[in-house]
Amino acid sequence: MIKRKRQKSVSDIPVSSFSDIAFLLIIFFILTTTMTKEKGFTTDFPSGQVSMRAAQKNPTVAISGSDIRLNDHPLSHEQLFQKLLALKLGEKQKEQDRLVILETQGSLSYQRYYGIMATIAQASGVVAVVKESKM
Amino acid sequence: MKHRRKKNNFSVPIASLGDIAFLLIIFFMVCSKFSQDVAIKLKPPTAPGLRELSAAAVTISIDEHDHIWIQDKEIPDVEAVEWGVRGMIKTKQGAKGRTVIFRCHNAVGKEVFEPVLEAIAKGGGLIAAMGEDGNREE
Repeated sequence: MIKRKRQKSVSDIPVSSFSDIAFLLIIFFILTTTMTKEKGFTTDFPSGQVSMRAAQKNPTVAISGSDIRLNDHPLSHEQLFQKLLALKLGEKQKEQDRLVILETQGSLSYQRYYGIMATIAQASGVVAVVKESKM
Repeated sequence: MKHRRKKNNFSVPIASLGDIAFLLIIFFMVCSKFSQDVAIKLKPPTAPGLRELSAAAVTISIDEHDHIWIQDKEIPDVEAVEWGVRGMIKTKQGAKGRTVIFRCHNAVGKEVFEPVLEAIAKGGGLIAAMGEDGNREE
């Protein structure tokens, strides 16, 4: 009797399409992920009590529409930045000494508010918000 | 006499292409973050001199329709912001742990964003206000 030799089946994993799948995955990751870092500024809003105590001696920025006032003196946005820089808030050790009181009146967009807050933060100030008041 | 030039059979070596591709996938997986905020439509405000914000555990957003979001979940009112922030940062330590990224549409009014900022502060969050580089507006 002739013994038939069984043919050994070669069980290789088909890898030819691996690179295609890999590139599809790359395209997926490129499209669905964000690499950009968010920009902004960090500020610690103190509690209302702290801001009330500090309101007497700290600089007060008041905004109403297009009007900006620093300690009741009208000035432009750029001038506000220069005046705050001149106060050298960054050199002050205590956070309470770096407080800048922000008063707002009337309707105000976030763009306007953000611009002023960014200016205070850029001058190393800490924003303390005071709710609606008379200018 | 004319010499016949031997034709060279050039072939691009593609054996390592798959390996390179997988390395690239690993790179993208490790150093990228999925955007959770696709559904939140907003145009951020602009200001000069902004710095890169470090990653934070909590993101609060106000979209163009004045809707408030914590991470990618819309919340019904501003009261939920304080408790949401308090709950999410209570186990975190240090200034980095209590940083809350605040994203807000540039045209949103004071009556909407101010209570949210106040609620974040009351909840113990350190506000990192997100924006884009631009000129100082007058």
